[in-house]
Amino acid sequence: MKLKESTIINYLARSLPGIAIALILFPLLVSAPLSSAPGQSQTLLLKNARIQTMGGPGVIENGMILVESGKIKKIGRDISVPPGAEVLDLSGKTVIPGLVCAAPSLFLYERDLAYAGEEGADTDILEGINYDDPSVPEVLQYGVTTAYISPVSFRSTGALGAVVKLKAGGQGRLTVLKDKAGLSYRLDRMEDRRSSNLLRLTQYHRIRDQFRQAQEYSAEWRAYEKKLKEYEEKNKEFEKKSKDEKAKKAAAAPAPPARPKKPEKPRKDETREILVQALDKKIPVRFEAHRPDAILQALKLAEEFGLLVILEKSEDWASVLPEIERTSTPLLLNPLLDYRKFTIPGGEKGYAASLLKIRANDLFYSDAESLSEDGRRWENWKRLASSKARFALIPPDSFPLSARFMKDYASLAVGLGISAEAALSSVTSGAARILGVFDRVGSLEEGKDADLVVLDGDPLDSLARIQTVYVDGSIAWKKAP
Amino acid sequence: MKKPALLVFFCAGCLALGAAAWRPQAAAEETLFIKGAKIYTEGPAGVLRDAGLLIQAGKIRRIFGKGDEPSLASLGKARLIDAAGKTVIPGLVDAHTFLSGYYRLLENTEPVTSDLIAAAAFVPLSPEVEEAVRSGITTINFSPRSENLVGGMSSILKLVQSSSEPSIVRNEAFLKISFNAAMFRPDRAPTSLMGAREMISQRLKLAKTSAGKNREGVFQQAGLLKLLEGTIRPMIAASTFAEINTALKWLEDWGFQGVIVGGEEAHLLAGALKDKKIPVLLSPILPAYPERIAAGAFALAKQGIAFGFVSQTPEAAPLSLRLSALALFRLGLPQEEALKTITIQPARILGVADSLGSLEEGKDADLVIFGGEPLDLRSPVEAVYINGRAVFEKGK
Repeated sequence: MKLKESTIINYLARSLPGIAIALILFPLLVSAPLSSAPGQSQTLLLKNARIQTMGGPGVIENGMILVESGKIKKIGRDISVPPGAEVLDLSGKTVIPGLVCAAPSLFLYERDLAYAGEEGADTDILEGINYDDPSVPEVLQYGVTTAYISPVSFRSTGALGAVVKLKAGGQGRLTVLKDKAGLSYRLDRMEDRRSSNLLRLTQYHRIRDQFRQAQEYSAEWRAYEKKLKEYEEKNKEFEKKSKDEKAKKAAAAPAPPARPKKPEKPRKDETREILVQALDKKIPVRFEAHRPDAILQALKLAEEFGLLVILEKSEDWASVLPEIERTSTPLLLNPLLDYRKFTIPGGEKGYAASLLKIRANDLFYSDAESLSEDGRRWENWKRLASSKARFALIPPDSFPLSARFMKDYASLAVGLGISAEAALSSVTSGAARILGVFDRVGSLEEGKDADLVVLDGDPLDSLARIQTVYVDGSIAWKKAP
Repeated sequence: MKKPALLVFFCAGCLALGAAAWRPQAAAEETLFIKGAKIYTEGPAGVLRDAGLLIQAGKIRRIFGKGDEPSLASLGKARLIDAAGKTVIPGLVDAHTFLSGYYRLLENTEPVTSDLIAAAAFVPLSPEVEEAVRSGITTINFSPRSENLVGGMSSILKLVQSSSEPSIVRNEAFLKISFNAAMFRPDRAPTSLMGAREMISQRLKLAKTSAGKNREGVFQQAGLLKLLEGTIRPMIAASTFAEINTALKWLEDWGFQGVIVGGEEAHLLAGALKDKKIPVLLSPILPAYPERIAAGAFALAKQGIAFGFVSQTPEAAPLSLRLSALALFRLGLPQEEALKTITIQPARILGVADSLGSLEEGKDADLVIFGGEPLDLRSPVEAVYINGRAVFEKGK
């Protein structure tokens, strides 16, 4: 843009009579930057930064990132400055990919779909999403640029989630990166202290029934399609034959063959259509399963129906870790999560409670759990660090604004013995991989979205401050000077 | 023949038991020297680099600055702790918590149960206490819940987790009063803020006139009478503007010097709080809270109003104390100042700052060693000491 401007000005300076032309061109020049869509702005070159790419190139000291039309065009150490590019010196700064939050409940109109009641597998978050949610800027300033969103429910029935990207300003602060990105189920009923094992079992069977019915439904449709094909072939033959019959009308031919019967079309069922996609591994199934028995039930369902399963809020994974590793099922966890105490932070007071209007005994809390087991929970994270299990960090609760602190959850994981590399990956590349959006976000590599977070120190140091957040190459948040 | 043998066994048993019971006492007498640490004293000495801390008989005997180290000979049999690259801060003070006794701290049969003492509901061996200690909390104000107009008396305790060492700092510390929304029930009085203010005033008047005469009354009036005598102070749960305003008016009616706990909208009454010197104990800043809650706390700090954060465990995790201080740091408060809101400031509000809340010579040796900067969430708690004795050491 700058280049264009200067050549035009030079040209005008040389040809005074061209002032008339200038008068025509001037409004065009002014209006040009306004008409270009935000995010598709100019070429940007970031230099002298420590870049933690979280992808192939690893860590690049004194690195450069070339951003063009919202994408990372080049990343490395020696990139020549393209003409017209805006150059930004980031000496002493660190750049990481935009953070990814892999668990739900952001950006709904008030409590829409949060406790929908009669939702089914075809209840799609995108039907209730608030594209202008005022909490988006609050989340962006903590470097979170991609989030999984889904209806939250205490019921067992599934609902569809999506992956969205956050952006600042303009009409609509959210863009959909992937729809039907997950089908959420609850295997643990943890809403109150009265929940029992028997209730959990009912839950499990209800979910199993749904998938079995979906299997039958799928078989029914396949059978129908097969029959329909056969019918069409037979019908063609019949039509042809009856034409021939007409030609030889007068001839004393044998009686024409009977017209084939058209097969009956089964009823379309939206809910089961979704479940069939899950059976075909097109949609991952996310099970909220806190306790070891519920985790095993989730893995059993995965095996029985060939599902692509993600375990959500499975903080009691330790005793079933070998099974999780064997099936390479991804885990979504939080260091602050502890279902034994409560599922709701803030208890009956404060913002959290006013959102839910819960009563005192709706808090799940028990101090009857064994002491020794609780002691071990602190040591568990070290086992996770040395295991092959894939995991990503998520907020400890389902409240919208908890998604801001992804970086802090990673820092806490480091305090519990997870390596800095693994902890940062669990809120960037690892999370993006589990969500199935790694082709677009989660690492800084050529061709990917230019979602960057610039910090003035180590990304996992809680005392380091975020300086700038870029989404699609344009500034989504900037620290006040 | 049999009897003397039995007696010998009995005596031996007694000795063994006695020795077991005495061991922690002996440990408390141990001399401890922590060296090479960065010390956030949270007292007048500020932050000391490469400093040493000499602990004797459960107290901080001396703090050594850089290059001012005692000779090894003078330390005698002291246990040496090398804390190079680590930081030391005072043990955290949680000034309003239901730690280990959430359901036992609610006697919800009467709106006024002023004679109850919270200490009775404390379970030192609860896993929650263990978690609190591992999070660096050493002293708590264990309080009745906020569902009663007058819940009872809170107790200040140290988390020693041992039955042989005294853990009670003050058995009857504050009279817990609640103007919180959680207190109102449709089936009993009071059902409104004005009703609450009136009911508690009437109960106080009744206690004043019938003191010692009404035997049944005395039973429920113990806390109210202590309040009138001035031996304990009121701690009032109030979160919204209206609740805090009513609390301030009521305190003025009776001329009590009280403390507000909860206080999410306290910044809206900053002027009045400052004039009347009423300190505030703020609910922790949870991840789910919007930015304005932290901004409110920061506004209080900016206006010089004494406040501290409380965890109200199990409504929030013990870790929420550090998270709250970190939220203030992110808004621009230096780390040392932010740490004061979970150490010396709550200790002052509780009235125990003469022996707790900061690292100063002569004070109790309650401290936490962190692997790095205390507000960096990567820094694990390496060790926690109460009265100079290790209550938690990493890897042990």
